[in-house]
Parts: sequence; structure tokens; C-alpha cells
Amino acid sequence: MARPSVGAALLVVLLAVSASSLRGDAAQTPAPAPPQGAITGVVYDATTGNPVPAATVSLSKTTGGFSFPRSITDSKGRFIFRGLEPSTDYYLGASRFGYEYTRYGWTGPDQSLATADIARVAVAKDQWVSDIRIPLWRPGSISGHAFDERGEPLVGVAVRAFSRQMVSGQEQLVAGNLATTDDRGRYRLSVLRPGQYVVAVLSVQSTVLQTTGETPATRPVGELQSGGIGGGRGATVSMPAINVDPTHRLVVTNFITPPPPSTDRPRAYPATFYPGVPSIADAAALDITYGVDRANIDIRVAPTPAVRVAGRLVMPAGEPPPALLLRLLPAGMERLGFGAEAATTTVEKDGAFVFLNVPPGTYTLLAQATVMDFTTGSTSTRLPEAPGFPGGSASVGSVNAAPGMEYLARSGPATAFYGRALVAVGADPIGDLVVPMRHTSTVSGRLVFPEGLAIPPGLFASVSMEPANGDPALGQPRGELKEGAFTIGGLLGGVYLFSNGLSSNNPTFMGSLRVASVTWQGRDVSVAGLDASAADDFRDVVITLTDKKIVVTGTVTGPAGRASSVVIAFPADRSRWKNFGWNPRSFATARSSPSGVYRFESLPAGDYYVVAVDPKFSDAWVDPKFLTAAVPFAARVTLSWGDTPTVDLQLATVVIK
Amino acid sequence: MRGLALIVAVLGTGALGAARLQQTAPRDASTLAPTVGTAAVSGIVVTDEEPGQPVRRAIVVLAGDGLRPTRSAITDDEGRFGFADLPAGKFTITVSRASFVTSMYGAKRAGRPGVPLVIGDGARVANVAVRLWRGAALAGTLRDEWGAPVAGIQVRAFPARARGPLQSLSNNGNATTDETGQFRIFGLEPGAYVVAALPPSGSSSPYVGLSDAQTDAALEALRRRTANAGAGAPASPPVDDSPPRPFGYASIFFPGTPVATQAATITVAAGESHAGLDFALQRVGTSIVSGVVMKPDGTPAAQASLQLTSIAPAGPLRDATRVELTATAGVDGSFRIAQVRPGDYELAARVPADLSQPGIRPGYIEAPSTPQLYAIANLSVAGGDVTGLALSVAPGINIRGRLAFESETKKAPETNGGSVWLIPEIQLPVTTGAGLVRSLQIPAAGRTRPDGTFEFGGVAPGKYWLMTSGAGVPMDAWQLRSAVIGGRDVLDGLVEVPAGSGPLELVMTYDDKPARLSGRLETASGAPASDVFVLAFAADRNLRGPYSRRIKAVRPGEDGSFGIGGLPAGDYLLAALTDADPEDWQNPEFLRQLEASCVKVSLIPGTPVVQNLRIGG
Repeated sequence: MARPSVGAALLVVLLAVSASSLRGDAAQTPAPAPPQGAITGVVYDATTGNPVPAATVSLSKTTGGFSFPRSITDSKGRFIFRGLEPSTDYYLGASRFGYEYTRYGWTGPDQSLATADIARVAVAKDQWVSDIRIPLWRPGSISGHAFDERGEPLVGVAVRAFSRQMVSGQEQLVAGNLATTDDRGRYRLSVLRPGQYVVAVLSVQSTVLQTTGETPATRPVGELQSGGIGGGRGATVSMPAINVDPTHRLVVTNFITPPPPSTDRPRAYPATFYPGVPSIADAAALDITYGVDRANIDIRVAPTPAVRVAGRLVMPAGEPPPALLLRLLPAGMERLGFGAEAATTTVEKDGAFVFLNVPPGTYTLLAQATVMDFTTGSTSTRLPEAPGFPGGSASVGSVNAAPGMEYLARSGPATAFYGRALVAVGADPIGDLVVPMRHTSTVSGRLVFPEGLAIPPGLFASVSMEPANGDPALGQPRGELKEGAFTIGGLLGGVYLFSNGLSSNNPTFMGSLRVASVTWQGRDVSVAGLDASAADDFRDVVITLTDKKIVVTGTVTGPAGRASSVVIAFPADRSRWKNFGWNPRSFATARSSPSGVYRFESLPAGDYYVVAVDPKFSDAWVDPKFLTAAVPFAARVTLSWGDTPTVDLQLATVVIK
Repeated sequence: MRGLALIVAVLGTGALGAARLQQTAPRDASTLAPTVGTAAVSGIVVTDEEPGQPVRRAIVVLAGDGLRPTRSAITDDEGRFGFADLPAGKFTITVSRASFVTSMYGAKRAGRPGVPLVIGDGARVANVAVRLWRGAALAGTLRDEWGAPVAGIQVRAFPARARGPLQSLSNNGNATTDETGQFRIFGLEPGAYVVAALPPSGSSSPYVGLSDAQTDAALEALRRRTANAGAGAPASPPVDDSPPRPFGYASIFFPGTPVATQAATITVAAGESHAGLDFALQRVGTSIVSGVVMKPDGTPAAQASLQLTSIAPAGPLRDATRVELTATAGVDGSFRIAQVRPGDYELAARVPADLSQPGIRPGYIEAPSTPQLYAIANLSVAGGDVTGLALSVAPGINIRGRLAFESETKKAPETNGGSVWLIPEIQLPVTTGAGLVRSLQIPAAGRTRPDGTFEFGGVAPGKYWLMTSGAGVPMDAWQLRSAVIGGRDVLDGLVEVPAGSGPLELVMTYDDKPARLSGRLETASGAPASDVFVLAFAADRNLRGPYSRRIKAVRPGEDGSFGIGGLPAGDYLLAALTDADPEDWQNPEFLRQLEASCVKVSLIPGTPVVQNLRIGG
């Protein structure tokens, strides 16, 4: 009997110790029960209604500062978040490769990401919110094969989609997604946003000098440049080059290997658009919407007789020709970047140049240091720079007047000269093409600060200009401010506007100032810009800054009371609805808060329309058709510096015709 | 409205990243007159089938000693090509076409060395037939563990017999899955391959996923709890709501194993298309790596850039070493990297020495001249979190360089403005994700001064390839004989820059005495042997290995004559092989077995060595 009693005694002691330690813990740190809120739901394909497995669902709080591991949906598209504290500020987003990112509550893709528009999910204490359904929209695709005239597959060649997009109030051709063909000639352009596309097998005849350094092929066939924005150094040729004459070679890169050149009758494959035409004007447009896959978009290329186009750059007296890449762009494709050329070549020592293998057509020859274009769609792959491009720097970014697009600018060494020439190429070689080179224009002037304003010591600022018509080929010249004066060089033949805002090392100070006027020869040129087409220099331009501002506020009311909307202010003068550059200051958009309140602070003095529309129109101001449709619903206001008007608005239902 | 986003990257090193060690730059032909003569060669390119079909639009390259520039042509619709105005000489003909295996005239199998074509003065050589092998293709679909296609994942084919690091495959060795999960790798040499999917490590924010059964169970638990609460029943014990461990996807070999040795070997013949390589990704639990970066003075290295690079084990994936994850340290020097998959890693940290200097932006790549502090540590991750790491950054190492010239007849050339580069051994892709350009071991550039000196300032510790674009030295008159650092000739390997070392001295010596080995290979009966290779490799076993400049093979011309240039002086073994795979030459074991049947020669600078060989003699 002794044993059991010993055991019982031990048991009692242990329990007592354990109980006291529990009490001690409770007394020091009261441990609340872990939160047990939960959000569960399903991610589904908006087009088919099928669940989307392996989608990533993120849970966040509008108040920020909340991190929760993202959830991957299971084979039935289901996701689960558990252990949630009570909050009214949860929101969810879903994504999957090949689909558009979507937030919970969206009725279409690409809706507003603004905090004000977030559909919040409230979770009460230990509540299970079980009915969250998030649609995902799958962009379309175009696929097919590329063949040559004998039906043999074209391998490793670049195929690209193009579409027309609004830039600075005008439609322009913009390059989109890019793919290369495999060994069967097959290509697939995926993740295409809804729109009308034309598709082309690209073909560039790149001429380099025989003396250009030669390196073995280091790039796998068909490989595009991915990730980085710049390629190798211009002078290296990474793909095979074909001797054509004692001084020139033709480089085969991501494009179709041409038929063998011969001195009597060279031939080339021109870039070919679906369904098999060399001109973009004759290309068939393909309509893509969400969930649409256009297959069998086969393109057959055929060789055409080609000619040699030789000529020279004519420099202003005594100037040596700059080392430039010359690009020959087909009519209608002048605003596109690398890959759109019919041919490229480099400038030889005496200013002479030779384009080998040019197919017949009408072209613009561009001789300038910078190659820049806007693109839509995926930017994970790009075409490398053309052989012989003396590349130095590159920049990427976006501008307000080209929504949904990215620009890429690649520049060689700066030069004070540029040239353009129209070239009609027929059946006969051209031996004497003369390209007059002009001085780039220079704009100089001074900045007038508001009277009595103390300028901070060490202020550094730069003034930049942008092409009024948005043409990326004109570049973005820039100049530094020195003791109130500025000089901007490098304007090519076009109209330029001063960019909105000055970049500075003191953004607080410069941000408190606005451009009141830009005058040159007694006229205000802030809207009309400076026309550098005649290659003149512009002196004594006066940019007057003001520390006054115009604050427009108001409340938007919709059918159901105060409404979330986007409020757009635009010039009353219709002629200003295009050619407004990249980041126009006389257009403004603002989100109204959930209580309907909006506020503008950036507009300069002038006459404006102000309209409140659905948030999906937040980028529509670049389209004059939208502005025309919006005018009947808009309030008209005249704003002077220092005004603080209140403009209350009704939410308008705008339909673009 | 959105503001103007502007990201500027200074380029110039991109081209270097793509190229493996090149001791000499492309010859600048502008100073050299083209070589011309009166001979002509014409021929046809045909497929490897019987009978061979003409191959149109193939690119034919004719190259040889002293031919400037290299000649090239495209075949016409009948597969024909021609070269005129050639000097007499010995030439190789290389033919390439997308999706075919680049082949040489006289090669007996795809991807093997060919036979030089010997052309006399004014000769007309016609009907030269070059066989071109069709490439093989490997295709399939990659899925996740639920069977959903996975897009955007790199899939690579590796030669199954790979040992040690490999050069990239001669043609496309990789592909990326499209949004239907499909991939197609084409243009492969016939042979045996293993196929691997290499998923990225993903972003550093963790994610979790439940299987269907786990989801069912979790929903059932929620349902029970809710039902109980609604019925006013006593509260059930809390459901285990702790999220499962975050996961990532491991590199995986077809048919579905993370272990290279268990990968299936797929053998493809020339032109064969092997489809149906369908396999699935597999999850692995991921870990958190965290710690702190400190400066030499004990202050935190605020905003240091960190980069975790996986060190793949020896084997096919060795070449796939890559950046796994990056992070930026906080103001207190602390860092936390999530989503780290199991494996061995190098963790590197870099921070500008003076963050307050104008133009310094954390996380961006600065001009190499900006002084940087570095730290490098190795670590292993095996499931658990790795916490409490302490990295101490130190200044980079200065390397003072000098060009030396040895010649009895020539003056040292002016070398102003030439470039010498140190390229990190692990060539990290420079990415622009989120606007950040990151590569912790920046390639270091030195520019030569008129007196032949140059300097690398603040080089990060690590291993580098030495590379020069000639350093301003005329390459037709001078050859780089040695580059000595710390008593070691780094031309035979890597430049090792040890952490915490003092300034290093680098002497690059050029001379004008190229060593040259030539001879004639004949059979036992004295007939010229041209269908055999001559392999020359360093007698010193330590100087062999991948990328060694002391291993070279040639195929004798039709007259049995061979010449091997570009070998540095030293002792060599010569072997005659009936067939050889370039991979074998990098295999130390293979070379060791050959040693017994070799002829030994010594190459002396400036002295042509003639060594005739007889098979079975």
C-alpha cells in the first residue's frame, strides 16, 4: 500500500506547482485569446467562371502596417485567411501569371488602385467572412507560325504586336508585346490587353562596316534582351555578319536571314504584317478582348528585290560628321524604336553611309543620337539595340499623356546635329542621297522668381522641354539653371513645350512655385511652345514663376448622394486638347473622397471645364473624343492666380461616341 | 496625376556580362588591310540525312590564319555558297542556321571539330560539301502540384554527362514556359540531356498554400465553430490557426526530382523532337535569414544592400548559380530575408562608405569609383530560420596594376586609355526590377595610363576573371604572356581578392614571342591522318580544368598537317584521338588516363616547335 500513497502524494505536489505557475503568468501578462476572425473565398476566371488554382491572394489593411502571408488558391480556387483581428479595413487582391491583377470588389480589370476606391471587408470579433469571390480577367493572346516563301519555318525571328494608342491627344502607332519563333516557326504573343492589334514578322537589314569588331555569336538564337534596358556596347556585333562588299557587312540578329546578297540583284525579306503584307496600312487588325486566344495567325514572308541606298550627311561648314546610327523607318512607323526599321547603318568617317538590301518603299531617314519610343504590354523582353548603335545611356519611365505605356530612351554620345530625310526607294539603287544635317536648336533664357522671395542658397534646378505632339523621337532636352539663367540644347525639328515643374535639389522650395508665364519675343509661348523646325536658336526666353496658387475644391454628388469619382479639369479651348506634350499642366485629375470632396492645386490661370466621371475614365482626358463627350456635363470656370473657387459637380455619365 | 518616373542606368558593362573570359579583344581591323588573293572556294551545305538535302539560308563562315576579315556568306535556295579572292592558306568552314547544330566542314558528328581546307595560290576548289545536323528539340508542359500550368519559369537542358562547370550550350539550352505551361528547347546537339525547371525564389514576402484536403479540413473547422457559436453551445477549443510554414518552389529535374543524380536522361538524335516532358514543381519549406550589418567603427551599416546568391552543388546546376534574393538593411543595420529555400548560399553586403555624398541612392548601383564597404559570408539553410547573423563591412581592396613589355626589338607601346576589367566569377544578372539596379560585386574597371599603370579602387572581396580589351596594346604585335598577382599567374584561373587584404599588385606582361606548335600526323603506314584529333594539354595537372587556356585540340588538314597557336609557353602532352568530346578535355580523369600514350613537348616563347606524330608508331 505504500507505493500508491507515495505516487498520490507526488501527483498532488506537481499539480500544485503547475497551478501556481499558471496563476503567476496570468497575473503578469494577461494573455488574450488569439483572434479567430477568418476570410475565405474563391478566385475564378471572369470569362469562363471556372475556379483559378494557384492564384496568389493578398490580404492587407487600408490603414497599412499589416502584413499577412499571402495565400495560394487550391485546385478549386479556394483561399483561406485565419487568425484575423477584428477590423473594418481589410481588403484583398488576387493575381496570377497570365491574368490581370484584380482587387476584390472590382467589376472589371484595371480599375482604380486608389485607396478611396477600395472595397473594404469588415471582420467582427471571431467572425468568419466566407463569401468572398474575386474574379480574374485573362488577357488574350495571338499565336501562329511564320514561314518563308517555300513554307519553311522561320526560326528565332522577332514577331511583334502593334496597336494605335492616344499620346498627347493624338493616335500614334505603338509597339507592343514581342516574341520570337521556335524551331517550328511558332510564336505566341500572350498577355495582350483588349484592343485592336496588327502583328508583324520584323525584318531589319543592318549594315555595319567591315572593320567593325567581330565577336562570335554569343546570343542563343531568338533570345531577346530581358530585364535590363540597355544592351551591349554599340560597336560589337554579337551575331553573324555577312560580307557584302569589301567595306560593308550585313548583320543577322533577331530577324530573318536574308537571301544571299549578290551584286547584280540583292533581295531582302521586308517586315511582313498579317496576313502577309509589307505595309502596315494593309495589315489586318485583330480584335482582342479578355479570354480571347487568336490562333493560326500565320504569316508568310517572301523576298523582294532590294537595292543599295548610299549617300552622305552634309554637315554645316567645317563640322565633322557625328558618329550616329542611321535608321530608315517605313512611312507610318516613324515614332517606333529598334526593330521597326527597314534598315540601319552607321556613319563612315567622311559622312558617307550605305544601307544594304533596302526593300522598295517610302521611308524617313532619322539621323540623331537618341532612339526613344513608347511601348505597351510586357516590358520583360526587348529587342537589343541595332548593331553599330553607339549606346551610352538608357532611361525608362512613363508620362501622363501616354497612359498605360512605358517609354524607353537609348542615347549615344550627345551631338549638336541631327538630320531627317524622306526617301522613296524603288527598283533602282540610290547612290547620292543627301541628308542635310542641321544644328540642334538651343533655348536660353532666365527664370524670374516672385519678387521679394528669398532664394535658398545652393539651389540647383533644371529646366526640361518635351515635344508638344508627344513624338518620342524628339526626345526630352534638358538644361541646368545657373544664377537664374538656363540654356537647353539639343532640340530637334519640332515644337517643344517647357515641362511642367522644375526638377530641383530643393523640391519643397520649387514645389511652392508655379510657372505663371513663358514669354519669348513678347508673346506667351507656354501653350504654343517653341517651334524648332527651322533650326533657329531661341534667346531671352523668360519663365516667370509665381508663389500664388489656384485651389479648386468642391463636392461630387451622384444619383445615390455623395459619390466617389474622378474629377477632370481640362482647357476650355478645344485647340488645346492635343499637342499638349507629355505631362501637361493645364489638365488635372483628382479623386473625390468617399464623401465626394475633391481638390485641385496644380492648374495655371485660364478657362477650364471641370467634370466628374466614373473612376474608370481617369486616363481618358488624353482622348479628345472623351473631352467632347464630357463638355455637356462639365462646369466652366475661369481661374486667376490666387483664386480659391468652390465648384460642386454632379457625377456625369459620359458615353464616348 | 502621376509624376514623371525616370530611371537612369549607366550602361557599358552589359556586353561584358555576356562573355566568358576573353583574354584578348576582338582585333581592331580598322588598322589592318584585308587579305586578298586569287583562290576561290565554292560548295554546298546539306543536311545530315542520306542523301543530304540542300540547306538554304545557312550562314557559312570561312576563317583561317591570317585571313582578315573573316569571310561569310549565306547559302542560296540550292544550298550553295562561294568565296572568291582568297589567299592561299588553311581555312576552317563553319556553318550555322537557327535550329541546326553549328557544324564544321569535315566534322564526322554534330558539334565535333572539322578538318581545315588547304587551298593553294590561285586554286579553284569547288563542290565542298558541308554537312549540317538538324538540332534536336525537347518540349513539354510544366505544372504546379495541383496540375495547373505554370508560366514564366525557366526550363533548361543540361548535357547529362556534365561534370563541373559548363560552357553554355552551343545553341538554345533553355526556354521559358508560356502561360499554358509549355516550353520548347530547340537547336540542341544530339546527345543525352537532363531537363530542369528553375523557378525563381519569388518575392521576399512569404506566402502559404494549402492542399485541397487541408482546405477542406480548415473550412470544416470554421464551419463547426460557427455552428457551435450559433447554437449557443459552449465555445469549442480554438482551431489551430497558425499558418503553415511559408513555402517556395525548388529547382526540379524531369520527371520530378530535386536531386540531379535521379534525373531522367533523355537521349535525342539529330533532328529528333522529344515532346511530352511533362512534370510538376515541388514545394519546399522556406526560411528566414536575418541579422545585422555593422561598419568597422561599430555603427550600423544603414541601408546596406544585401544579396543572397545560391551556390549550386557540383553537377549540372553548377552553372545556374544566381541571385536568389535581395534586401536592404534598415537604418539600424538590421535585415531580414524571407522565402529562402534550403541550400548553400553566399550572403554579400555592400554599402557606400559615405551615404551623405551627393548622388548616393541606397540600393542603386553607383559609379565604381564611389567608395564602398563590403562583407561576404557563407551560410547553409536547411529548413530552419537563420537568425542573428552579424556581418561586418570593410573597405574594398585596392589593386595597383602595371603593364610590362618584353621585346628585344620593339619599344613598349603607348597604352593610354586601354581597359582592364575584373569580372565577378559569379556573373549576376543585373536586374532593373522596381527600378533598382543591383549587383554587389561590381565589375571593376581600370584604365591604363601612358606609363602603363592602372588601378582598381575598392574591389569587393571575391573571385574574378581578368579581362582586357587589349589594354591599349596593339594585339597584332604583342601577346599577353602572364598576369601575376601575389606570385600567381591569374591567366590560368581566377583572380582571388581576399577579404581584408592590403593593396595588391598586378603585373601584366606582354611579349612579342608567340609560341607555336605544328607538325604532321600520319598513320603507321606514313599516310596523312586527317580524321583524328590532336589534343595538346598542360603537362602540369594543376593547369588543366575547365576554361584552361592550356588545353587545345585541332583536326589536321587533309595533308595531315596541324598547327596549334595561342598556347602559353610550358610543357605539354600531345595525344591523338579518334574521336573526342570537348567535355572530355575538361575532365581531369580522362586526361590522366591519356598521359601514358602522350608525346611530351616544351613550348618556348618565340620558338616554333615542330612535332610530327605517328599513330601506332
